[in-house]
Amino acid sequence: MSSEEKLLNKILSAGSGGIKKTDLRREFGDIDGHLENLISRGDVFVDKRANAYFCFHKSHYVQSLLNSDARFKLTYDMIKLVDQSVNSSNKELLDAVESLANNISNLASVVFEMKNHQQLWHMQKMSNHDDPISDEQKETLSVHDFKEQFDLALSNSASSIGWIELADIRNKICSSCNISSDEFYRLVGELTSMDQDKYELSTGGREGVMVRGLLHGFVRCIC
Amino acid sequence: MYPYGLDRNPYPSSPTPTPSDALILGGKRHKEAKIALVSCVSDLRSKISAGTAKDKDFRLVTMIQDVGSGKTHLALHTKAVKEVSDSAIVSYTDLSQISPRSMHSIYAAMLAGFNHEYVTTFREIVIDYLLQLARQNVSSARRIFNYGFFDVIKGKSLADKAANLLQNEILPNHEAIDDTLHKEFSSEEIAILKRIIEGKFSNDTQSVATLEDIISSLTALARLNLKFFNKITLFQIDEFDFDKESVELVKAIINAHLPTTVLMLIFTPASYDEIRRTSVSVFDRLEKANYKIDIAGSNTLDEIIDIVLEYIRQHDMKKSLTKEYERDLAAKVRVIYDEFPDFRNVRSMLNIMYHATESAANRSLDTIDEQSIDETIKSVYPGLRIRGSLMYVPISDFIKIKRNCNDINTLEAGIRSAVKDLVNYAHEVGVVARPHPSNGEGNGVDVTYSDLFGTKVAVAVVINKDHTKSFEQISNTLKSTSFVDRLVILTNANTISGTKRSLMVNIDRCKMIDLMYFSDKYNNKEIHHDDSQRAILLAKSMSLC
Repeated sequence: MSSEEKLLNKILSAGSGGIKKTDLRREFGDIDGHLENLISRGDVFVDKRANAYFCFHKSHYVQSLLNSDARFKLTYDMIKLVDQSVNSSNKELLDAVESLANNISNLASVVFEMKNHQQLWHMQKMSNHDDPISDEQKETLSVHDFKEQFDLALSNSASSIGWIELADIRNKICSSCNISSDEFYRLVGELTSMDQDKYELSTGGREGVMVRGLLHGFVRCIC
Repeated sequence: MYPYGLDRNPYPSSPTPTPSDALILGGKRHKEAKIALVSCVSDLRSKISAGTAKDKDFRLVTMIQDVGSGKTHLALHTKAVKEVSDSAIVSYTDLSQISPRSMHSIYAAMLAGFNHEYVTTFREIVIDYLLQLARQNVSSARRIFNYGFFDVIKGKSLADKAANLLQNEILPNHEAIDDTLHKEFSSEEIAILKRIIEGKFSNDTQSVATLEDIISSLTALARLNLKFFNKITLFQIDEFDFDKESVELVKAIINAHLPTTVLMLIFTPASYDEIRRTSVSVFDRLEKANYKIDIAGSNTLDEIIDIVLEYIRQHDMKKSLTKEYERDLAAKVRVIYDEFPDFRNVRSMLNIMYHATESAANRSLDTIDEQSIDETIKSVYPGLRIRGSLMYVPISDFIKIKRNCNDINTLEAGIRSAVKDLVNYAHEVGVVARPHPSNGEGNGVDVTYSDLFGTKVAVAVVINKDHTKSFEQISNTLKSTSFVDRLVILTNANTISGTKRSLMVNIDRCKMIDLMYFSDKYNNKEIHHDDSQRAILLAKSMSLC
């Protein structure tokens, strides 16, 4: 180890308190040349404190300033806050960009799927009009959308007493809305339970919804 | 003593109405249906009074509605209504009680459907009619009573002999009846009058061999009702279905146009549809019925509430049922109706009310309280639970909580507090690491905590009547909660849109009541082992842990 390296290690071992230049001279003799080199490389800083010159290693110099200089400490904290704020903004910006990118990607895939689905549906309709629709191709409807279809089917199937067999409506809606029979009855159950004052169910029929353990296969609109 | 100051349970105990139960009729729609039926009877009766009725003036009435909706009740009620009983002689027949079902057995049931009072009065009127003829010195009429020389010697009058006949102490002279009545009555009418005089009105089946005989006999009976009572005849046939014999008999009755008669058929939409499939000709006739009594909406909430209250009103001699009591009971019925689809018909609700009234009476209560309903459902329907309730909230608590939370602001405040309680409890049982002191106030956050992996989670409750307001509130909360790793928004806005950092959890009415129930138990330190598991399940169902 060269004498310059020994000097540097000694200054480093002093920590943020630093070491007096006079103490170094007492230990290592003439240090001015080596110290000049270390200062010029930025490894060591020298500060005059209380009529004495103190030497600090670069890794402890900031801490030493924070400990001794209130103005420096304030400035340092402010800079740190600005740094944090910038970092945080950057992160949020990145998140937003990522989320936006995902949304665009999802939107694109949905549009693409819809387009494909429509094409497939039209192709199937054109090529094989009477074939039953496979389960994979069945869609789901919201209760609100279903209600419109259901009301329309009810008004088109009116009988003298108002009661319509659910199976008849199921045929119409399942084929027009491309939903499965199970989905149809799930929606009927939900709709009639939701709008109790508008729809009335009656027992019997070949198929329907179960209420009170009874098969209810007839429906009518009561408003 | 029963609730509301009643001296007896006003609700019917049997699933089907008895004539005395049917004296009470509640519900707007049922009352409207009754008016329709009464007007049909009155219409025909007024034509007869005005002399504009045709010889074969016949009316067909159908009443089609689901089981348990009050058809039989309405039929029995109209039978006893003064406007009807003043204008018509009514026979009520329940086809479900007839087996084996043949035209003869149905005919016998139709005769048995007239009440005892009618048969007795009819006999008295006919014997009195014959007595008047005998007093007018119609010799054959005197012979009917076997009034002879020895009776004169003994000092017996014709009235005495008529009284003897009425008391079944003497037998009438059948030959003399024929001789007396043949000019004025047809042979079928005379045959019926003979059986009436003998007191064998309902045992007529042996005298009718064919369908023609049955129709002739019913025609004769309708004419006799008009002549002796000046009333039309109303046949009510309940539980009518597609059974071949019933359908054929009804078809014949419709074709025969029984004079001054109303035929009322009561059946379900399913039976009507089955008749459409199996007997086109009868279906076509039914389609052209003069009146179609419609009880549409007979099982709606308003209708059921009115029916439930009507039973109390009719028995409330002391006028103890105040408007406040009515509102209170209606609110309880509403909860049962909303939460249990099984009870959404008149029959089921009356059954609940009967048992709840008994339960309240056993505890000497002034009103039917939540506990009475709870006990009823537990004892009569032991398997029933509130749909979707994870906390197994008893019906009584459910009703109370629901009633207390009618106001949206109270509900929201209650949910906020309950969510805090649930997070605290989750921490106590070690499912959540550490609830933070409230540092999210002002950001719309109700509770903040760290989960077991150190993730900082904020929970915000957003409950509004207006969902647009909720979306706005959610959006604001999302913007102002960057200080947490994950945001859980509990809302009733029915939305699934969330972001990478936030999670929307829709809480329905049931979950809200679960939360309130848990909070109540937690604050009262009544959480037991089962409740603990359910509470954790509830927290998990809302993605709180």
